[in-house]
Amino acid sequence: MIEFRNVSKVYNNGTEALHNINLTVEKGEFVFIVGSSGAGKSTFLKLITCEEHPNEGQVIIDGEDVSHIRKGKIPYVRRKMGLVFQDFRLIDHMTVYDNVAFAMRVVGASPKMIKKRVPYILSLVGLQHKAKHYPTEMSGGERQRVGLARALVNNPSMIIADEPTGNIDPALSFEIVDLLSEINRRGTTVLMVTHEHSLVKHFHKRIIQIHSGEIVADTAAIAREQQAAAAISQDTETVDREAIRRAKEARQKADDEARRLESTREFSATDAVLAGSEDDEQADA
Amino acid sequence: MKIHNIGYLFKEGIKNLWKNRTMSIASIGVLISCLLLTGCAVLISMNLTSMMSSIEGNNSVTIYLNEGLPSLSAIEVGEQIRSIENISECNFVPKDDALADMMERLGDDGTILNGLDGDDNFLPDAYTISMYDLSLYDDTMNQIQAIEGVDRYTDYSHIATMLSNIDLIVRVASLAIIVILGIVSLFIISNTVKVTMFSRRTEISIMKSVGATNGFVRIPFIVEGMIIGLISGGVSVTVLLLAYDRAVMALYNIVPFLTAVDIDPYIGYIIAAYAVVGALFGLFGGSISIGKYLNNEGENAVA
Repeated sequence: MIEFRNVSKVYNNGTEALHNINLTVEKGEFVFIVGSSGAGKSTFLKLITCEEHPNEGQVIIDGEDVSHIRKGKIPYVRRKMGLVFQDFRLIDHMTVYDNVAFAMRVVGASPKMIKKRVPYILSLVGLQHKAKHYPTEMSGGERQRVGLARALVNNPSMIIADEPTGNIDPALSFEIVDLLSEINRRGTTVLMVTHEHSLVKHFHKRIIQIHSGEIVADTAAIAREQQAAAAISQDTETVDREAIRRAKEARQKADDEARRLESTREFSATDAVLAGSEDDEQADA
Repeated sequence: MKIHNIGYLFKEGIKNLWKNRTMSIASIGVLISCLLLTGCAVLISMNLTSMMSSIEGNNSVTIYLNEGLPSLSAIEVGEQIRSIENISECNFVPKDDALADMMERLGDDGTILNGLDGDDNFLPDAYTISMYDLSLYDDTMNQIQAIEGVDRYTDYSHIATMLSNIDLIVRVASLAIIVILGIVSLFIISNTVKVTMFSRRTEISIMKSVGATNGFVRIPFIVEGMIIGLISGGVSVTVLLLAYDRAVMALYNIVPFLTAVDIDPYIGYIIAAYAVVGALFGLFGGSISIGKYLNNEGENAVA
């Protein structure tokens, strides 16, 4: 679904935002992207939305290399993704219904299709009774649900949420991520950038930590290595010495990663990454 | 482009125009002055050219005789003129014919001259003459002036030179003004569209983030520019045609013997030209700013 191959991005002013990123997000995954401010999260998202292009490497979306895509083709790549913003980006003079319908209109959907689909999406996010309200009359949580409805209405194969809970009451943040999880359960890939550790801890999803333009931790990779190590060690009778050595190495690597992140709690990949992310933030502060 | 989109995009363009009405009115005002000046310059130039060609075309001089000169004397004067070597043609124009001719040229307005016939006719008898050699013009005219009974003559050669000078000044001045106002109009239209774009930047960024094509984003702004152009074109052509009508009437009252160019047969073309020019101005003005905006910031969907 999303693949980064040796991707580096240096801005014109010389800032190296991303350095040699390698990553694969499979269809149907739910991924949290964590990292301190200036770590490269926004650049990471911009490369996916084709707002920026990498200096090196390839960004592949749905099997299509978008690294140096023609301008005219960008809108069609974007139609595969639904974007959710921290500041909601709703149009205040339009009703909830019109805000959602607007997203369909601008990609050329027919009025008949809009009439059919908007109420369905609004009911999906639990706002069918607020269709005629204006965004200014709603709470932050409700507004973000409108934002989510708008992102979903064109039936994208992935949702890219840039700190969607950043402007919302913490209690309501869980509601939004619950909704994203539900959407993910129905098959939509979800990529969510966040700062809120409580959320990441609560929802056991894949976590990618970016620091200084590099991926410093990826729970999927750690889990994969753990699984490989466990599988091999369970069957030591049937494998040769080389396999045992590889298994030991893998386990060692996973343990090192955990130690590096200074996790003193019961080892789990999620906690290891979170601990690292918290450290980063403390350092930033 | 699907049909249901066209209606939507036009509606958006009109909405833009209304939301931004102060700037829209300013753009329309400047474009109207530009189009009006262009129209005036063209009409003045057309009339001057037509006058010049009619004067130069017949290459004739009208010699007016003294008022109340007896017919016999008038015939004598004619004989004397004909005896001058350089005269190729010499025709008598009785004052009644001159009056009838003037009434005919004035059309419906000619009726005001009713009752001025016979003894009340204010026009004098005249001869129209042509020469073989125009380089002997001054010499020939001196000889004619010396004949007893000749009052004055119309020296069209000087008028033609004067008209040609005026025409040149009008053309150069109007061209300069039109170019300056044209640039100002484009600038103002593009600024108006820019203001609309600024006030709608959230919408544009949302449009881009959900995958609207640049063409789709552009159309309402171009529609806005074109409507500004069309309104300006419509107002200017109406004002111009009404003003021309009035100006021609006023001119006939002051100088009855002048013939203004009749634009009635061309009204259709003039209206079409104004609509097209207005719309093109709007199109360019609108396209300049939205094109620039989309190139600079148009791909921003996330930030």
